[in-house]
Amino acid sequence: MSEVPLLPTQEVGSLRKPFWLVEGARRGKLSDVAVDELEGLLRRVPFADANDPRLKSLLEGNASSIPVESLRELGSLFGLRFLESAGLDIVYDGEMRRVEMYEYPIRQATGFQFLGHVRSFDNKYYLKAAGVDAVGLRAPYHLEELSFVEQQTQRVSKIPVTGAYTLADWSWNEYYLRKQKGWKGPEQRRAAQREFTIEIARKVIRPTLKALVEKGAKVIQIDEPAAGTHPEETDLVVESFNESTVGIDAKLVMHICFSDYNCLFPGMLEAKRCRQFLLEFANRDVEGRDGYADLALFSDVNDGREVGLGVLDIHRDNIETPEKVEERILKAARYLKDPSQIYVNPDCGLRTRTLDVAWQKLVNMVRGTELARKKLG
Amino acid sequence: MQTEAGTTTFLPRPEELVTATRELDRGRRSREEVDKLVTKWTGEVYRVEDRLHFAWKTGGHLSWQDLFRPIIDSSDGMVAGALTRWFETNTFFRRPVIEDLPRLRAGAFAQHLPPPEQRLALILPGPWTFAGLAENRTGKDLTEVASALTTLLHDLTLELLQKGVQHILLHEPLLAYADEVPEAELTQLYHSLTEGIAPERFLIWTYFGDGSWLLPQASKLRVSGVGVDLAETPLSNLTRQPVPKGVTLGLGCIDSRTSLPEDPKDIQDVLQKIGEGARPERVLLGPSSPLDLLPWETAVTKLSVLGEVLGRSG
Repeated sequence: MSEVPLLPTQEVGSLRKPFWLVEGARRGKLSDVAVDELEGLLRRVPFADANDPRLKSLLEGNASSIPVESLRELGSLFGLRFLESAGLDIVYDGEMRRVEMYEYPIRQATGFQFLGHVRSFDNKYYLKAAGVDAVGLRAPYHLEELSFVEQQTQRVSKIPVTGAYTLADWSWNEYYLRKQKGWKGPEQRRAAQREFTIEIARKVIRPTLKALVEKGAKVIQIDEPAAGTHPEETDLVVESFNESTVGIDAKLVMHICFSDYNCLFPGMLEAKRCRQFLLEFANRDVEGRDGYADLALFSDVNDGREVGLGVLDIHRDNIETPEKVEERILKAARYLKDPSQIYVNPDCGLRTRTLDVAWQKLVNMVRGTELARKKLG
Repeated sequence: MQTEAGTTTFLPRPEELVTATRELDRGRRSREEVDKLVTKWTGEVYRVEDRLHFAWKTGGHLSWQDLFRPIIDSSDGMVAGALTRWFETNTFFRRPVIEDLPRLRAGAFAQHLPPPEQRLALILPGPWTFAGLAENRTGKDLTEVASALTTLLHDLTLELLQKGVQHILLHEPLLAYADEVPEAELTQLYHSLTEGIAPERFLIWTYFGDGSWLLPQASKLRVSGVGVDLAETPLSNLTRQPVPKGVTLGLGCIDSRTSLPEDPKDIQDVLQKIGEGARPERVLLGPSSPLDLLPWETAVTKLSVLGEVLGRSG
């Protein structure tokens, strides 16, 4: 694993999948839009050899001759080279092989049953499962994609894994709730949810992390987007992280975003094996408001752990200038004891943006970080 | 103790409708086709409500995207804003953004009304929750904005009553979720809302927290009763004092935050304890929180438990 400089830049979540990958996976003919996009992307990021027969087929609008797994591999290679070419120090593959972060891990576990679609927002729905039996694991997952990335990059890689708390929170809990006798009031529900979450941590996440480490994972990012959903459950987020990571010999980091950090911290600092918290800040850094003020939560308790500093707003198309990125890093540095605590990343995954916008944002993030290094180095 | 039941919250869209809505978004179905399916499945909800002998039938509000949208779409001065987490769930709503003091456009809400023969009960956002979750961009004082929103709800209620709606279920999760609610401000809002309208027309439905503190306030707020979320309310908070005379106790005993169907016997036990401790004259059983947090089949299975409880209660 190569060394990283001061203020390492890193990815934090998924990128939007290119049209050629999405349409190609459906096995049909590629649209002109998809082919045009591929040509444009190849000019920017020559992610595969021009003689690669898969590329030739795709550029002719034909994906059906490419085995799906080979197509996914090409997608993974694209995501990796995209992030490398943007100049990031710590990379993964933009989660190009993954459709989403909930359904896949749940399908690798046992004891769950998908019940149907529930509303996410407006009239958009997602498939949701219930824990109907004791939680178990079919087989550790994400191993192949990790191996592929490790083989393909010389840079530090960081694999994201959805955390136990989020998997439990986004599922229904039938089995462990049923074990509570009589009326299921607030107390019984809390007890059942705790048991459910910790079982996922022990039986699903821990063995998966262990297998990933055996495959060569050096940095593992536990994603807990649900961490801020129930402010009174911070202790359970922490407990599930601690249970998930018993005996795991890797650098462990945690990503949380769009939450009230005043509810989560300092409680989250009890996740002792977590060496870095990757947090969203740029979204709240608006005119007249210092979005980085919550970093005082770290300095106030004298905690010297690393912070993955969100400097790109993933909900807006406007491109942060290198100077804006620099300003945000310097602002953060005033709250933290040591600039070596700071890692630089987008607020969250850039999948909500077009690849073009994501590219421009990431490139400026790298340039802005270089400016900040000159001041803080 | 008179015991009734009803669909006191939204129901989820059935899978056929979910699929059709997706296809509409992808340009593979027409709006008319989806509207026909909404009508078809709303009819099915009424059939379920009839089969379960519900006294409060709402039709499930299958066409509503969230608690606020049809009202936003029927008003001037408001738009649907950013996606915002719906309390402690993994569901999001579009925050109402108040750009100017909002006013109802006459007749604009009619498209969201059930057919005339089914206008028994309708769910609306309560004024406290509406004002509390809205974003005020008017430059005016929040009190003034809340007052305008309440006037809008008052006007809408009058329109609905004229069109044959019998009862308004005011969803007020914020009254149960918030740590503190200034009583004087709440009373003022409710007096504006209910002015000139019989209290029997309104019932407050709280969830996502313990709303039992509102029960003694019901008469002062000029509503007929208050629904509480039994998944969030310790039973002892309900049994330690009697429910005031004439106030309906709503019991949200079907929980949308778990897919596990409730045991009718457990609900009967709870009813018995509450009957002994709180001695309510009238109880309305229903889902606690919005059932659209569940898939259709699961929601209907859980709702059916209420029919069983009613059957056992005679």
